[in-house]
Amino acid sequence: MKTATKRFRSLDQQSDVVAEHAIPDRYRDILSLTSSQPVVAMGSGLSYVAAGFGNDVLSVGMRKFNRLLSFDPDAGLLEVEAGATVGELYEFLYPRKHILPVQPGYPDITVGGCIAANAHGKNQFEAGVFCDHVESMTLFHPEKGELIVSRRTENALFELTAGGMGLTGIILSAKLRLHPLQGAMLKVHRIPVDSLEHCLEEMRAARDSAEMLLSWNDLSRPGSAIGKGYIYAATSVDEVSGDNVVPSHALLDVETRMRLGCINKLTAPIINAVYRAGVDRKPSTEFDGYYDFLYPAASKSIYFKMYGRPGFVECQSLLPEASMNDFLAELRRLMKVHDQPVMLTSMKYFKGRSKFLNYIGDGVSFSIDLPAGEGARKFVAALHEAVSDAGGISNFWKDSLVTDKTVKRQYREYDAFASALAEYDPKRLFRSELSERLGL
Amino acid sequence: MTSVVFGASSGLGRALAEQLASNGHDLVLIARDKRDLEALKNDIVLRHACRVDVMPADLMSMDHKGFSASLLNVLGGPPENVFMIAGASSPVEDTVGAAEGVIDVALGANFVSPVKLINEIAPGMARRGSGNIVGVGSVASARGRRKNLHYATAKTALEFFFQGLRHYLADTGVHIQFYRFGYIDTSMTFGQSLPFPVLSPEMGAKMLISGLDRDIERAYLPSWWRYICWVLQMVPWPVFKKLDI
Repeated sequence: MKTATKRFRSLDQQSDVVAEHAIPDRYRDILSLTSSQPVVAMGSGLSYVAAGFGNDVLSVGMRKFNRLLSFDPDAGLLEVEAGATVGELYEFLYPRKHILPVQPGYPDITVGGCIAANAHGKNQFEAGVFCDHVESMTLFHPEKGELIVSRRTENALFELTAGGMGLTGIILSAKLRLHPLQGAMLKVHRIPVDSLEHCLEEMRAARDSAEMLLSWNDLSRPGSAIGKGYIYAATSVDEVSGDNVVPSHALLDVETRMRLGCINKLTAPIINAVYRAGVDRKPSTEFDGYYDFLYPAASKSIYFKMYGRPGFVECQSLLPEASMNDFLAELRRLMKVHDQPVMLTSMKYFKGRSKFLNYIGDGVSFSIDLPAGEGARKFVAALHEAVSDAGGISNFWKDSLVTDKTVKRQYREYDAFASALAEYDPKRLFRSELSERLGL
Repeated sequence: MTSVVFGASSGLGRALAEQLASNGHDLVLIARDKRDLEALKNDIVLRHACRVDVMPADLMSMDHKGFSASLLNVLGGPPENVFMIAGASSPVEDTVGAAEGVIDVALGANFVSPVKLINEIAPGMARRGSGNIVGVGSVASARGRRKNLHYATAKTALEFFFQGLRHYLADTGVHIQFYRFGYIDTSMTFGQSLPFPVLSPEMGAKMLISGLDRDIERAYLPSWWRYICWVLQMVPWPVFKKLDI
């Protein structure tokens, strides 16, 4: 397999590594890998953090393995190669009236990436996480060969691989359980909220009827209006309003070129005010295509460039509902102390029991985006402390500032994961900058 | 309409198979890698609901007569279109003094085997009086040089064969198209520092399909390569011999 040296960057621009990479296009290339060098698979290379590359690690790009292997519409099963993206699968499945039950917010994320991160969508409280819908997968490890892994036959390895950061091997393919499409479009109801607490109340009320639910809140406004925003509650409907074709979308770009660097304390409130003014002019109930609602980042790729070359930090935390009010009070205090321009804030309801290092639990997922820098570093470190104190977990898949110390404190099964991984692969052939950061 | 694609499992051949299927062609896909072929077949059948047969074969070790008989048997007669995409370049130095294996692969995969296969398939197409035979050459044929020597020799010989084939098939209704490709974004060029832009396999496939039913003795893809090749041919020998190309 041909390799070349490449400079890798994470989407948040917080990691910058020069390492070897390969983009195989035949199975024999992958199956000829040996254990002579640390390896990690890469999907589209759009992870917020450095999950698909690392120092002295061969990064194996899987995008050319994106073929459909089998489809059983009656059983609702689709087998695909791991480099297929959720957007490609959407294009295939939508006309056939099926859909992946869980999808991340950008269409170019690969199935392998979704398994490695055990990704969640806007319906986590309803549909769980990506690997809840994986029937089986084919994994390749140079010292173990190809392994067919399912919950029934290899439950321990399945759990180690689901959300396992690609550390158990290269995921070659997966058999996915699908959901029948409930309607042609989504009816999206927008509910205005005055504060984060009000937002939580309204989301609690809406989650029984909504299939997908998330909020947008404005934390860039000073004073009493902090947290003002909207809840978006979506349900499937059969009415068709307008077309529902798959639009072309701008590709996310991890490179540093064409970065505007225009988000700061002065502009963040203005940008958010302009956004709100645009939203306020729209009717409170709209019909959206699934594609637009599932993949909002597809039409907003410029957003990531607006942070400029220093990039951004996304601090996403999952907190028990009972501790949300205390956490929000602490958040307000920390915002006053650190005075950072929070650009984007969003909340989602979650449910489930976490296993190993998965970002799952009962509670509320709370995310903020802000420009990277020393101030952001201190603010986010303080937030990590607040999350730990509140019994929550920080999502290291989104947040490059999460340290091994934080993860060890927050994730009760950290040691269990590390031991299971060491037992499965004593040589620890699969590595990345992310796994190194987490001390794995 | 049935199209046969030699070298279908990856790169230009795979892109071509996908686009032919989306244009309604039934396919016979031929390449070394059975697993890749099967995966491609499944994908194409699911997306386009056309008929796809796969015939795993290695150009370097096949019985050309026997294989061609099997192919014609699968097809039930001569195919409408034959795309000779298969080829190989050497990962190690390919110049005077190269290992025998390097020379064998360069000449065998890029010239001898394609010629033997076309010799078996073309007469039936000529008798029927319709179809296309598409050959893929290389801009490496522009001028003999020390690098890629046997690969370029084989591609140039293939081009010469296609000229003769075109003459043989003139007035039969079978069209010949031969293309000199520049750099294509495939595993062959991966990681190389190239002086000119690479062509995506998808764009290359689109161009091959758009050329069907036309009579093309030789065309460059992308077309601007003709100027680069012309310049290369015009470089005076005293200068050319000093170039490290």
